Amino acid sequence: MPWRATTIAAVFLPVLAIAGEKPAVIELFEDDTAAIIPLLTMGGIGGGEDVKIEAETTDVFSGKSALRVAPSQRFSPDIKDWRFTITEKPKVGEYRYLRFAWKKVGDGPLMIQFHTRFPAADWVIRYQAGPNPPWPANVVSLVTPTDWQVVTRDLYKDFGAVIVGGIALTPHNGGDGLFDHILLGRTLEDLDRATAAAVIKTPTKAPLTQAQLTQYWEQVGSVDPIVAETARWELVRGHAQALPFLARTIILPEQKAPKPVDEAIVVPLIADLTHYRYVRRAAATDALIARGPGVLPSIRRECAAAEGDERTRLRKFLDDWSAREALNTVRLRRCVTLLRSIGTPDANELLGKIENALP
Amino acid sequence: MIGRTLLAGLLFAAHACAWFGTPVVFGQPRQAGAPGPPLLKKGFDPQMLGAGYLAPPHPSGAPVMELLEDDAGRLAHALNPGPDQDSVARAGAWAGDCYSGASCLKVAGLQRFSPSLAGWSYPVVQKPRPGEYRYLRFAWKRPQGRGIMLQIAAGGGTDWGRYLAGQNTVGFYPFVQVSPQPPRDWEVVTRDLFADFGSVPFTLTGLAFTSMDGEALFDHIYLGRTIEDLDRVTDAAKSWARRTEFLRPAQLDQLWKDMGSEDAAVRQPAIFTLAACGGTSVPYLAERIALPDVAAIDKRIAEAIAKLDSPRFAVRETASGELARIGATAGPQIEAALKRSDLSPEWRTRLDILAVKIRNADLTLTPDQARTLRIIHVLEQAESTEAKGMLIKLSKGGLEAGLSDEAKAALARMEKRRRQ
Repeated sequence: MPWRATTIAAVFLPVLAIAGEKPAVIELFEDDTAAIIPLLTMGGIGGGEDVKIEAETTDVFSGKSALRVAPSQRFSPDIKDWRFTITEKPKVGEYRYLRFAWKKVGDGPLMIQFHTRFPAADWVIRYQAGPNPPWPANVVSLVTPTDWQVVTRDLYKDFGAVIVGGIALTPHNGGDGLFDHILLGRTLEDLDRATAAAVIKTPTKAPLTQAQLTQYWEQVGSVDPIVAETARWELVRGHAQALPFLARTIILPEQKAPKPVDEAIVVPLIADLTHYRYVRRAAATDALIARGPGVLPSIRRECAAAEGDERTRLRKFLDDWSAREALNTVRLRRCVTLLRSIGTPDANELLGKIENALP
Repeated sequence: MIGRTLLAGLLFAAHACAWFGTPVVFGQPRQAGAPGPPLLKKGFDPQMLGAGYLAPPHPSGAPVMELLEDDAGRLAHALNPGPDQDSVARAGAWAGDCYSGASCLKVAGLQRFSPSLAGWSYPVVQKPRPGEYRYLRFAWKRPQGRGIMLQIAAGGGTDWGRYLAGQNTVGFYPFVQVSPQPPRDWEVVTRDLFADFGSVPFTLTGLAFTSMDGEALFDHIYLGRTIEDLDRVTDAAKSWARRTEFLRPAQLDQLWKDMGSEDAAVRQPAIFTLAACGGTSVPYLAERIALPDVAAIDKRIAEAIAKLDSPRFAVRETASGELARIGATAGPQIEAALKRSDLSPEWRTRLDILAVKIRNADLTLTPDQARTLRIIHVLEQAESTEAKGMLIKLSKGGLEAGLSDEAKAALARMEKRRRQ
């Protein structure tokens, strides 16, 4: 049970690593602000400035505390007992993946940096949210997060084999940077177990609303991995509302041939797909989607016979249908991970249904 | 004196930051007189913007004000009218694709605009009272090309607020980017005008429709006190998109009454409903609309023109008012009268004033004229044989304010759609 290391102790886990427990996930920071703040001895660009760093106990991603850092940064390149090996195929006590949560209060970008002991003593690892990083960095998002976002990175893929020995928390250009839940993991599954345990222990302040549930479910299918992952963890956090929502929302792929449709109803709807008025096209689109894939043969037939704008609009409907099916499959696959993280009997029951339905 | 100048300068700068945002970057050159970069070089009169001049609430007190739904043809005519404007951009009502109603505004070229449209004087404030507004909703579409912009004229064009989707290829700064991509299909945008443009009250007086290059479509533009008020219009457009039902006499009477409302949140749902239920609404409307008598209105115009030369001032004033009300319909006879050689100086002046008003495409209508225009829009949307028959009768001339031309244009759009 290597993940237990993260749940047993909200402590500064390098201690555990040194003690020989070699956990699969290392908490670089979760809650123990008293341990980490004194370690980040340097402030500002040159390191000699008195930059604010404090425990944030109201606005946290998980657990009881986050770190609130004022611009431009607090850091230490050489933290005692930090010697984390990042490698392609991590053995016990080695790691590959990084996960952290961050947000910015105020303007300007946000950066997290790691100092390496190997292959060079330098700030090799930098991730930024926001444009125009002042130093070479991997820009994970062009937009600075104004609410908590979860970022998961493959350190080996991004920067190769390194040994991590220090960290910098860097909010640029004004505003405070909030950082929480900074983990190193051997595998993504290990990280997921650690994050699930942390967010389930940190419930939402109010039950998720229907609008929030709908938004997160939309975002689970996002092409932006940060948006998708953040939404996934918010649904895990609000699983009391998310599970019933998912049970009534998810659309499982049809196992059988679709039922035939009433042409007398469908043909006028198809005609409306090419109507000059957008609201009418949109209403017909919704009505056809509600009738399911049985409408597709009729639309394909009409599309083959159509010309010009009419053909373009019918083809667009068919293309959008394919895209929606693909998106649904992506969301269902991500939902499997989400439900595994929740892990309750209800979640497992829904999980079984999805796994049986997925091709 | 120097101190006072400095203070004034600081005041200007404070207003400039509030309205324009920072940083202000000047873009590419633009056509003289067109909306573009702010007038920072000249500075501007804080009395015209911000806490100073603010138009009084609109007298209707309406929670929602329609800026564009189906009146695109007349609006296009009022956007910097003149013989040369087609070389900069063409604009007109477009029947092939619209968001709601029967048509949209299509602009092809750089842009068409007016900093000060007749009758447009809408106060935008933080906490709107009746007749004041805060939110703007519009639908736009850019089938091809890199960007699209809608600009909001404040204080008669002393400055412009801008909404952009896609790339700003015209280089007009600053702007609020509502989307990184241009809308390839219709997209509805709802914005907080007050918050977007510096949190200072201002008076909205005109619009610029900026297609940049190629074609851009605009539709469904409304000002609202609240977003919920705006939703009443948009939801009605959506809910009546495919629905149709038999309307009982009491319902028809209520919808007829609602169609006369100055509140677009009451009027537009009535229009959408009547248009969707043409089977019962068109015969009802046919009973209520007074069909035009071309000969009678020609006689009225001729008599009024003659009365402009009456020895009695009151008669001359009444005749001027009558001709102003008849509007564009009187245009040809007024232009013909101006060519006469026997005009007294006052007669000529009165005719000149009327001719200029007509040429400038004044959008204001009397309540009866507005109702007639709305009936034309209902008939165009209803798309039935009976509706077409009514439009043919209305298009034969004789409606005030040039509305027979509107009926003719609606018929032409119906015919074009039928052919497609």
